[in-house]
Amino acid sequence: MNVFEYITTNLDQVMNLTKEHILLTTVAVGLAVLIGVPLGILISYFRKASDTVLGGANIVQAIPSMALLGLAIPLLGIGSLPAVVIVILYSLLPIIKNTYTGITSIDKDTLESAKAIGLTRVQILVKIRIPLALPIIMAGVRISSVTAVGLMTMAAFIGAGGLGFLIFSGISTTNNGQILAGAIPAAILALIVDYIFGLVEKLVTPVSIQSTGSNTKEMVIKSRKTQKVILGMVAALLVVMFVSNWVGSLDKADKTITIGGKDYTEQFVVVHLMSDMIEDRTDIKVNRKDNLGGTQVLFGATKSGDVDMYLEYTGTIYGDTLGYSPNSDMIEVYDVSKKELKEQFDIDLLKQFNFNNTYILAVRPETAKEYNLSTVSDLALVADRLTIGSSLEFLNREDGIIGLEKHYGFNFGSEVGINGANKYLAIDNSETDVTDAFSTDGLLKKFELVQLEDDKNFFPPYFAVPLMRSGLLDEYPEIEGVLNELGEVLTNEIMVELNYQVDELQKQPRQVANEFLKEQGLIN
Amino acid sequence: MIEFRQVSKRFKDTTVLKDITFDIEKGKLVVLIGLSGCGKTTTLKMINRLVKATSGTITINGEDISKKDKIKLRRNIGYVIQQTGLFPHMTIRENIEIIARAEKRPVEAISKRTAELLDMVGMDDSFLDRYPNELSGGQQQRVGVARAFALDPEIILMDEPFSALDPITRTSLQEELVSLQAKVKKTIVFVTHDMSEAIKIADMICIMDKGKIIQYDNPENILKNPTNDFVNEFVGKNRIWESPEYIRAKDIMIDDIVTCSSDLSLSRALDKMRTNKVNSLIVMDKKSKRMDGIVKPKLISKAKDRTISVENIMIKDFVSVGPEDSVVEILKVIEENNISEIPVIDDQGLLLGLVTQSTLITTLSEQYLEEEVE
Repeated sequence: MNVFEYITTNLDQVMNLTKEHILLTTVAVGLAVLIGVPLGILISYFRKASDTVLGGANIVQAIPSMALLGLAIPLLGIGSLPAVVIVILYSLLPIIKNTYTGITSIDKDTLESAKAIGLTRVQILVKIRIPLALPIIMAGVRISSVTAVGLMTMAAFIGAGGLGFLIFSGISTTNNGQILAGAIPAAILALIVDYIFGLVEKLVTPVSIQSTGSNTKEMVIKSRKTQKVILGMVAALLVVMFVSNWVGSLDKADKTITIGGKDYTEQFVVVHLMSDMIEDRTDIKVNRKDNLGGTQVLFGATKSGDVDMYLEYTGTIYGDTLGYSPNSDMIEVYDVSKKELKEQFDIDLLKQFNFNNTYILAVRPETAKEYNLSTVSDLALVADRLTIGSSLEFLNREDGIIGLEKHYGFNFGSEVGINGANKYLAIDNSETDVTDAFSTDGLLKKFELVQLEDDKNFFPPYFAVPLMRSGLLDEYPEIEGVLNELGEVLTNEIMVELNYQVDELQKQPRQVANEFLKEQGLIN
Repeated sequence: MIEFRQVSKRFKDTTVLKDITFDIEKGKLVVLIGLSGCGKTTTLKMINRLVKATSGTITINGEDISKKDKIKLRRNIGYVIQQTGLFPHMTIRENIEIIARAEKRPVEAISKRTAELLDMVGMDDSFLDRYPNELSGGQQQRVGVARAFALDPEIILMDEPFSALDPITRTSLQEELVSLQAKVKKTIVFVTHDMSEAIKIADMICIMDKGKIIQYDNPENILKNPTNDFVNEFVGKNRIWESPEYIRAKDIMIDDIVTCSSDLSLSRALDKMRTNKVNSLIVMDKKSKRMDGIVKPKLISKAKDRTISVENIMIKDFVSVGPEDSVVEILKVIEENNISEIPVIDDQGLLLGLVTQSTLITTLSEQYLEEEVE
């Protein structure tokens, strides 16, 4: 699907996400200015503190943003708050630095004469230092804002929405149209922000300093009028957006739950499957937060109550969250998980769904033919000649590569960590030979890969199971029945088909889910 | 009005000022001058406490300034520096009015005052809405002066205000400052390193070197009686020729004049002139030391009878000058009266000496001769 098609068919979504992006960026930059400018002024008076503050801001800037985001989740949860906080942290350095430079680089004679004619320190700051430093300060704000627009795409990773949602979703589903539908508006937005702050920068530069050479004072004054009109319109637009957003948030039903989802195709689909079922069968409204990242993010968000529920997998709970060694007994895995989640975290599990999204290994048909591969045992014999391209999570898990290699007694020739749909592209391009996959993955069908049978029963069961924050079932007991009914219907075959529709046919997950439920007569 | 008492200033281990003591009289324009690093600017900045004295006291009208409110003190002292002192982001009006506005004076009064100030420095109100960088250096400096006068302070400090200007503008601003000062009679402390500027504008000149005051006197005394070689060197030997009005009759007159009494005969008078090799005789009353007249060889040659006394032919309505009259005035008198000698007579009528054509030539040629020697 190309980008224009995507945008025209999903115009509402793109517009809403753009609006969300603008609002989040505005809030973040606004707060960064409110924090950064006074801080910059402060350290220009307490020079001793300036090294510490600038050094601190430098360090924050040096931390990879994804890592900072990960670190912020336990403290701030998910959603807009951590996204805004992190963008603020990143925006601070240029603002503080430029404010400091602007305030301290003012001509000494000018300052001395200000002092000598009897201006107080505060008057010197307000009437002399700040006006003269403003162009430099605004240049810092401009850099920060443009960076913030790009950085804010990360917000989608923790459920704050924005244009990053389209980019991340597009990467997960190898939908280039969707990636561009997020990336192009983000780029345009960045250019617009750059232009707008360019205007502000000019406006705050004293006429006297701006009018040099061929730029006469009259020309400057004249162009100022246009600049003011443009900025006025931008400001009005922002006000309208904030107000409409606020009004919009008012008429949310009070019976609302938030369903989260991880960052891959199946999770996108199940978020909508569960949400559509609940909204159809009950009077509960669902706030759908798909594409929230991995298990850690979602589990943390459920513990803190940012997310009310999401669809987890039994093996993940057992091996990952609870830390047990891999176990292939599906009943024991479920029972232990249910009991211990309740005891340790007061988190509830409903009945297991009917599909088992476990790990499998897959190879290209040519590879299978060349080495005569049909089981993992076959693979073990030739694995040292092959490269596996697998998700980062799988590479580092006891029930992933590490355990698998021990269980079957082999080592891969080399290992490459690739997330999302890119690992399929890598194997399709013969850059890797083996990939891990989920047994329900639609991309298996799309790329026509051969699944290798787990003949020595290494992979634990990964049956889908709804995981809920404490108290949700007490508030909304009607959810349980609805989800149990859905779980009965969803088999491995159906999930592969649904995933395939999204990944290969590039349909919207929401549309796929809705059509399926209607077809099955589960909803009206 | 401003009194420095044993004022010293040390920055870490360098002593910039050593025990300075001097007074600045009300209504005088005092110039602080010296080589760079001599402490002149430090001294100036101590008056409005931009620089704090390490020891000693400075009083204004008897009040110790270190006990006054800094902001109040500064608002009552005007301050002018090189053109950078204007705020580049403010219009001329805003620059002039900034302190009056900070003082929350009534708006109408401020505008009226601003118009007066611009008028005072020879500018009109078309400049009000312009920015400093649209003005020439000279115009900016006028605005700087106007701003210093904004609150009508008694004291004005000027730190090399004209040194960045071209010579023509500088000269005209110096002249305007002198005439402005004649009208307003402020107490002005002016720092410069330019001796000719100092002589042109100062009532008093304070020559400083290595943190000490070397000589504090009026321009004429500085020029004529430098206390030591440093001042002599600093003032420069030919400096006096920039101000010839300071060369006075008493400085150049001959005081061993050849005189005679009124009863001397003409032939003897002629003899006396010959033997003394002079062109005239001053006829003087021996008792009262008053001059009666002057006798010249021409007059004697006209007389037929050379036995008569000089009394009969001497010029009685002679022109004379006072001892304080300058060489400029003497030259004027000589030109107007077409004479070759002028007696110098004090206000008691006593004869002090004589200025002749040859003394004038000797004096006036000094400046060229010395230049050649150098």
